[in-house]
Amino acid sequence: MTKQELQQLFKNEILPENDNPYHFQESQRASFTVEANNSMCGDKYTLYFNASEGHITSVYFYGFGCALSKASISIMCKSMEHLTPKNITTLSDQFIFAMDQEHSTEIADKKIQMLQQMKYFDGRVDCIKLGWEAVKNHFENADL
Amino acid sequence: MYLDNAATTQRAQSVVSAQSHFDMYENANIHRGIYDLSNQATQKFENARTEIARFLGSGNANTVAFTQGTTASINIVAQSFLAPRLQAGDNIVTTIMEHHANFIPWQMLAQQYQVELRMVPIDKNGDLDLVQLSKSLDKKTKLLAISHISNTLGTIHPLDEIIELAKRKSIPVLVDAAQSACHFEIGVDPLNCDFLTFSGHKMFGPFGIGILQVSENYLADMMPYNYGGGIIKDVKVEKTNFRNFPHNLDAGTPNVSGVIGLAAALKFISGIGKSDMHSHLNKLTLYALDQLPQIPGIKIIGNPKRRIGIISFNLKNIHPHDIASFLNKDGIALRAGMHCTQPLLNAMGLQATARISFSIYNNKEEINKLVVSLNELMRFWS
Repeated sequence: MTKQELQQLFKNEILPENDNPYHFQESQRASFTVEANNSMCGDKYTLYFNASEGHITSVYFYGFGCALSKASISIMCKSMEHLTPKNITTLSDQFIFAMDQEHSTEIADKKIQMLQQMKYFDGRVDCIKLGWEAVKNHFENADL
Repeated sequence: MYLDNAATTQRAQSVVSAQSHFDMYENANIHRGIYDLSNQATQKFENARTEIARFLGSGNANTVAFTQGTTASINIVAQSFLAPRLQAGDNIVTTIMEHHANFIPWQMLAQQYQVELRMVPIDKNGDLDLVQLSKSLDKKTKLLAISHISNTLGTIHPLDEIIELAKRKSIPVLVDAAQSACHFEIGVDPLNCDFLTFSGHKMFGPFGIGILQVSENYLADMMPYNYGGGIIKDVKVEKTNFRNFPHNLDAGTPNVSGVIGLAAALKFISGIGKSDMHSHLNKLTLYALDQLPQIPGIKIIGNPKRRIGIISFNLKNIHPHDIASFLNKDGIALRAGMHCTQPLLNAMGLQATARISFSIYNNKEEINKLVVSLNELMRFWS
């Protein structure tokens, strides 16, 4: 990625999401929370899930992190609303697989596709995957 | 433009040559063969120990053990020296400013042996609170473990004063010299400490090699921690008798070419001269501290009385990882994150910082270029 490409990416995609993140606030009444921490860089978020009748009704998040992790979690939170836990596991699985593998199926959501295109962003893939991995680990291990 | 020297320095050509010459023409296992190649390798290995002891101001090569690096050395002191002498009610003293390598081994011991771990705090400038340090040391203190220079703030700790406080109470002192070995006169004798450690790769040498120097007072207290061949005097089914320090730590085949490379690195440093290196780093540090505040929204982390070579900073509204990604596109390598000092950052109310760190090959023009890039980034972000 050239410097110009990096600037375009941030200007058009990352910074707008970073500056106006979706549901970026603490939620005291959440059904359950998931912690997304990267001890190497200090990024630390809490994800707040509200659930009803077998579906996730809303997802909020709050914390500190880089523009990439914040934008990625913002997009993730929006994409997970109204899904079942099983569908969330599948979605996060697909996303992480897409970030790790050369060839993968793209997810229909345009913003998630944008994130997936950054799989070759050296040194920053962990930032993009941070929230998704935390959610995947939670739902895989949760007693649903 | 490489500004991440606190993480690792670039390798000196003489180090690469010394290692590759050994690997190509002189490679043999040491202390075991009775043929020329092995004898010569053994001779080189032990000569390196002597040269390293001399670098540390000591005429006694047997005070120097080779390890994998600073982290390994500190863990050896924890397990080999300190653990056997801990009793309930004892305490270990370290500081909030330490690298995790000089914190977690003591935290683990404290939990395992139910002794107190006392953390010396810092003031708002990033200097150690020496009053608290003095109060923390008492007759139950079994070790004071402290770095020479903070790897995050660049603070130079007043070791003379600190070690004197510990010595008055007969408390052994470990010094983590990972960030100071290049440009300070160090060693257990010059510093009057008891354990001293550094890593080769932070001083132009190879990865995976470092030293642990132990004062003569405690040589007999260093027990083997890793068992196998090479460390024994005599092995019977009933009992094994071990060699003395440093040879009781060398179970298995050591990193011989790493040791050869480390000796070459110390020769490289001596060739430049530690005082010249110190002076160069000092000038760069002062110049950077003068230039960086021109950048709008920058916050230099800490303002210690004495600092050298390392400066942490943050830019308003820009995460250090984003700073590092954008500067990378300008060909500038700097570090972003917690720098393995999470307790320090927590104490300062910080989640992460960007960090620049200098070495002998950096210059003022590079600092000018850094300032231009950071200014451009601030304009872009706003």
